[in-house]
Amino acid sequence: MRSTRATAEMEASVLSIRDLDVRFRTQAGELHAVRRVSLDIARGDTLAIVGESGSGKSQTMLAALGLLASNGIVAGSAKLDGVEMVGASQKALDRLRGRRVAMIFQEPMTSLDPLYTVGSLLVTTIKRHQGLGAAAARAKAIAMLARVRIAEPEARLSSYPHELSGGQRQRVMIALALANRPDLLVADEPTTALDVTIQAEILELLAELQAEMGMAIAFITHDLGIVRRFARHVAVMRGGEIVETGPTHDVFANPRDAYTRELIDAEPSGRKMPIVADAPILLEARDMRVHFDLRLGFFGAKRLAIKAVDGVDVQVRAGETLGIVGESGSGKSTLARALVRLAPAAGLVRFEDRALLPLSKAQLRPVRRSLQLVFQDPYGSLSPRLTVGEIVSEGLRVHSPELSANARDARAAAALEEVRLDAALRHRFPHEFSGGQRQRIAIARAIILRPKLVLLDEPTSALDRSIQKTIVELLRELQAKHGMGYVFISHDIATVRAMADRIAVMKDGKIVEEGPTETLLGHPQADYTRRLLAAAALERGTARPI
Amino acid sequence: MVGFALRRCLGAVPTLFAVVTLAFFLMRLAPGGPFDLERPLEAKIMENLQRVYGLDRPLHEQYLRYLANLLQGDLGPSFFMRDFTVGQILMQGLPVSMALGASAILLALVVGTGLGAFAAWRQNSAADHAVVGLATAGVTIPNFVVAPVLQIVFGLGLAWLPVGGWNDGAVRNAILPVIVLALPQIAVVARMIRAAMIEALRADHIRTLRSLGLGTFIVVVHALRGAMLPIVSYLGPTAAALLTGSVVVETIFGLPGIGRYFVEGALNRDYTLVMGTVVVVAVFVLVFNLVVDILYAALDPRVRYE
Amino acid sequence: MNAGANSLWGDARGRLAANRAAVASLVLLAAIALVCIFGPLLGAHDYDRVFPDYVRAPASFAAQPTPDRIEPGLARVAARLRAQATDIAATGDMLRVTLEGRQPLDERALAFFERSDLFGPANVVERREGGRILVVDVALERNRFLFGTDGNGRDLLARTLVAGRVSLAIGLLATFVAIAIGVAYGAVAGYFGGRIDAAMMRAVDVLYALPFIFFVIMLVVFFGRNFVLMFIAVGAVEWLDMARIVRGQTLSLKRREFVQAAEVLGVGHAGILARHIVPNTLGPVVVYTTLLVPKVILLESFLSFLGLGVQEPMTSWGVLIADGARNIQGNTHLLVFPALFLTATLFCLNFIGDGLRDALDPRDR
Repeated sequence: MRSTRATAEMEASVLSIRDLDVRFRTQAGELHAVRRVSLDIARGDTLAIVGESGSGKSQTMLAALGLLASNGIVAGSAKLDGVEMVGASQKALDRLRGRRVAMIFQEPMTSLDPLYTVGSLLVTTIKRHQGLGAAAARAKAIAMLARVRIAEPEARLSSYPHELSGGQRQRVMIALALANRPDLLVADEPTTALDVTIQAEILELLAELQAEMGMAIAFITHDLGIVRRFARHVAVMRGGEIVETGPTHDVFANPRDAYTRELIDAEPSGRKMPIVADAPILLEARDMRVHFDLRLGFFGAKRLAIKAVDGVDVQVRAGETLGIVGESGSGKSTLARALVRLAPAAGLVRFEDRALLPLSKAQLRPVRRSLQLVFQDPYGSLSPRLTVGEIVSEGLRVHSPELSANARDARAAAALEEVRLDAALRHRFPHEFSGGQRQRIAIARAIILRPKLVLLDEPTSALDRSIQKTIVELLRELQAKHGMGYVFISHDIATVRAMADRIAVMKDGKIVEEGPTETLLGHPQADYTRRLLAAAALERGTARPI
Repeated sequence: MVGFALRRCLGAVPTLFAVVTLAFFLMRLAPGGPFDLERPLEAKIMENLQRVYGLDRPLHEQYLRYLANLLQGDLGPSFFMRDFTVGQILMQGLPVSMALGASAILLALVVGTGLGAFAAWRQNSAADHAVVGLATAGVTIPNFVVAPVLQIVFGLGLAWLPVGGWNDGAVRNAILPVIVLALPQIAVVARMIRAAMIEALRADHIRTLRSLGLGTFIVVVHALRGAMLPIVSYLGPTAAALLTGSVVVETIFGLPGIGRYFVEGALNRDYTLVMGTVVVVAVFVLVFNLVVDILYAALDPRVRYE
Repeated sequence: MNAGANSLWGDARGRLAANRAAVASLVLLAAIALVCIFGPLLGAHDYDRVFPDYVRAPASFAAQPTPDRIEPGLARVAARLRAQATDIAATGDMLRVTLEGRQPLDERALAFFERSDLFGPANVVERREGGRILVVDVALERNRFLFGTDGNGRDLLARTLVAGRVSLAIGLLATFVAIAIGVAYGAVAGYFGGRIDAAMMRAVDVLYALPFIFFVIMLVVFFGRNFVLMFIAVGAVEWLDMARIVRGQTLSLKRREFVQAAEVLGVGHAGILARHIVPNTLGPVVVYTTLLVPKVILLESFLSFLGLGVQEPMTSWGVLIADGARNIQGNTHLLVFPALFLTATLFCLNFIGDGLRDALDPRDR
């Protein structure tokens, strides 16, 4: 019966949004998040809603499904198969949600109740919407878990979310959402929090399930690679409005809106200038190891050693950029931390002419001036109770104590100018700045000391694509000007390609392959490197559709 | 789990030992002694008394002897109530204090959870504001104000309930003291549950339940279970304190619990009685810390018995 | 991690100002504090002056002596003169009284009028029968006892205000000590971690397991005669919660990247603690402070209730409430007024604490 109806209404929209308006009441006043958005999703179609953070893309769909936070106000209309959802009672919505429309979210870590087993949630959902008995619902739940390719589905029913990996959790979310074969699946950045190889698997799974079940998908994302690869239609959002919409192919081939063009061009481009051949070696690490001892059991009787970095050799010359690529847990961040002695390491680390590891804290202090680190999270790396000027000039307090407060302030102003921020802003506090601006502040804090080597730990991955591009350009420009060496750590191949002279690929604490950027990316030798590049290409949208 | 509990019990022994040691020497540092009466005793009598109770020995010897006796479960004779051992005194009072305290905790848990959950569900409504106001009143009005007021109203004015006395544990006699004990706890529990529920209702995983159309009842159950976790850690020390008696409530209502022995014992320098109460309270605190840990691990699958 | 969580005092102030309960509480608390500090300077009566004629006078706006007190009062003075008072005629604040004794009256004894709390000096208008009968003009001494008087005939208003000074001072002093110790202890334990942390926190566990009342009573025994010292000591006991809170904060702060960034810059331990850790624990500390002040005030009241607190003639809200609770039958004003001041203060502090918590962490609640 279901299939006959589906054929009859093939061309009709499953979801039809008209003049949807979302406002949030906040302490700071009203926030107009979505402005009169109208869009349609055809039965069985895939619509990508694209935009950068704050564009209102998630709020549009949350509002349509009645899932907004309690301070949100919705106006307009959102009809699911002709049934109005805006302003519908919680009870009426509960008859649609989970049965006709379902949603999966960005954060697989927090989207599942940590106190309940996977099975209890899945069985409850199936029982509620299909009116099955406990045994039948359980059988369906097992089948569903198997369908999303969770190994040993029966055993997994009694697992708690924290016992699953991020990818597995997202599979469970998909199983929950599709358990009752909805007509529409809303996927809100479902792969953003996952590693590239896992991302590729989840996307494949979704495509497969769509082919099998025929539901429409509204895919909310900031990643144009996914859009190109995955969506038949696309709607580009900016500032709460839809700026362009149409078939994906057309929009990418002939973007009519300036903002769409900007988004498409936002991939970091250009290459780094090569260094002179006989540049002196700045940093050299031999057989570097970072092992963490976990003590478990009675009086720490049981010990579990985690080899985060396991015998790594690296070398950086003056003015050179070494890119380190790897997925989460590969040890690439730990390596950077250990190089500046934030993590305890063994082996040999030589910076210029000194071995770093045996130095005491006091002996290390003068070296720190030449060896700086920029962190990934621009929100966490700036002290919230200090002004930007104080933050930027903090290194001078330590390394140039002879400077007066005025002289420090002048240097801070100059450093901010150098990273293209208005020096007058130095009396403000970090929370008044955007993510990209904060990352500039963090860079200013590092370069104010005129270091010889800067370790950049995923400096762009918390930022929107268009911002990433400007940060990459800024970093290259500063390098050309001051001749600093960089160690650039990233999981994003496109960014590393635009930054690095040489690339090292890390996995499980070891370097699996190393070589000049173009050689390594063009002719990967190691198996893992090939898989990583394949997954990244898929994400970039350059691979062929399956 | 049994292994975990055993390990934790062993871990508590040094703490208990430190508590006993600290209390013993603090007590002895205080000026005065158990036989300093208003009219000084004759030197001879004093000497005899001191010898009988072993107070003439060097302090460290007394301490070691106390520890040795304690290990055998002997808390020693009371200096002030000469015909009783501390063990007897405590065993008489403890059941009274525990009965009152346990009832108060139960009442606080049931009423506080209900009020808090209701207020959170209807956040910013008039009912919510009323609960918050009442809870603030419960925390701020001292029990020695509430107790006489309740006595006046229900004991003397309406004459529904007796003003005081234990009456062998008659329910009528226990009602007012239990209410006085429970009121501030109801207030705290209601506030905590409300705050935790509001937080929980905003959590991502509650949004997931909503997105699956599972209905209000299931949403509330999930949110409440998450909100109960902080209460568990709060109730541990609170239970230990309530079960070991309240000076104020026992004094005002004339109840034979052990709460008042803290004060009487300390003021009379009844060394053994004070040490006895200290040991009892410390054991309760440590036991309830353990109970909290076990309960927490039972309620939250993310916590392991380690 | 959003901008709100990093927000600063400026934003917090704005949000606090939008919280009506907190603002009203701030105003009321300021009013109570000002009245307690300056009220006794302006008021008519000293807090320790005894009016033997006005024992347990009820609270009233009317000026004392009330008409029903005049005759018994006159009779009392007349009895000391060995005379009887007759023909009492009142005009405004003046009385004309005829005193009649068996023997001629000693006019020096008219000083008894002035010594009473009801009357001013007496002037003889007329002498009859060789001084056996005197007609005198007596001024009435007007007194107002808005809150009534206590069992010793002391003005409860004056006593309540002076008690407020004591209670508030004790609350602030002990809280300050507790915060100072707790923040330093918790920050050091949390920052250095490892064995130092384990040892420091085990010590806290031991102190937690000691019955609090035992501690306080020991302190009373030590410092009983000096309540300032005693409350410094109480503060020295109340720091345990603070230390745990700050330690927890520090543990999570030191993993934050801005602390590591400071380490990479070469900032030393002291600099990191002072510039990066402690300032960021201040939110919860401020909130806890507003909740600790009422706790300490309650503790003082509790000790006074047990008779271990402030000693007469000095007084505190706790002393007054204990006194009121003992005499509650027929003398409700003795309980009502001090209890009103105490609970109003505690209410205000609680609402301010809640308001601050919401203001500093807008995501919560």
